[in-house]
Amino acid sequence: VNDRDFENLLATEFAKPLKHEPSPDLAPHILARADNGWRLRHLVVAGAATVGGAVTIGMVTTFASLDAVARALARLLAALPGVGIAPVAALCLVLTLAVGLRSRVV
Amino acid sequence: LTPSPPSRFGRVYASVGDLELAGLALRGDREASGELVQRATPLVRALVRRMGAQPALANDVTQDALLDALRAIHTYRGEASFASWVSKIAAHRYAKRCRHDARYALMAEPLDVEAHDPAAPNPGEQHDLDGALATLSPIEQLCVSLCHGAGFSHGEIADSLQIPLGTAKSHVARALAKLRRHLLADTRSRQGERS
Repeated sequence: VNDRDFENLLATEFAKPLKHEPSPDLAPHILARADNGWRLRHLVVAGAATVGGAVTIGMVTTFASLDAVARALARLLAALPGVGIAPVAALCLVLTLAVGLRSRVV
Repeated sequence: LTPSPPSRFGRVYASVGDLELAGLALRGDREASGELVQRATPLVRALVRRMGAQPALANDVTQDALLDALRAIHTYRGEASFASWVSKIAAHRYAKRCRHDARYALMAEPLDVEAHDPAAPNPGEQHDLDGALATLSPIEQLCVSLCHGAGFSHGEIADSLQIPLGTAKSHVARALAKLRRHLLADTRSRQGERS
């Protein structure tokens, strides 16, 4: 038996289930875990969206304008330890664009 | 190669291909997901057991790998069977466990090659791969199963176990030599019995 034939034989044998040990039926557990994971992910997304929405509404009503919200957020992020200038600058850029677009639209 | 177990998820899915089932599962068809899981479980679990996992750990790794596969079902392209695709995921998971905790290799429980399963095919029709694997050291068993069971290259084995490439190659070569001796001796003895 040459090497290639022997490797083919091994691949064939590995593709067979165990002879002496029946496989348990794992499908109900796996499907139940998949359902729970799906529910949890949706709960987390829904929760994050609710909190995010509430915070945005609260800030807009408190600071009256997007420009003020941008400045307040930038100050808040800059005050947090470990937050570098890059995310603050990116946020400011996005909010400035948003303010600019809003002023164009209005 | 081996007959699929009888489907619990409706006769209509028994004749449907893996790729089509994956498409149905992606659209939220729970029965299609169940059929895919049922098809893949015996082969995936067998590979993990052959890599050296204890039965309970093999069940855990198989479950986790199948869950990963269902979550990433949109990336399945049907180039290999669903069972082969999940086997690779399971092999990566088990190799990661072995890498982080060497106890798994030390606690490896040999396959029960003596017990008789009445549902198993006639032993005369199969080579005794599991008996041959039981003669290898745990690391040889792991490396040869990754190479010839999960289809990993030597480089992938070295990466997944974080061992030097040369060491991975030596383990596979030594394991192959031992398996060859064992399996071919087994074949010759069966041919002798027949004549």
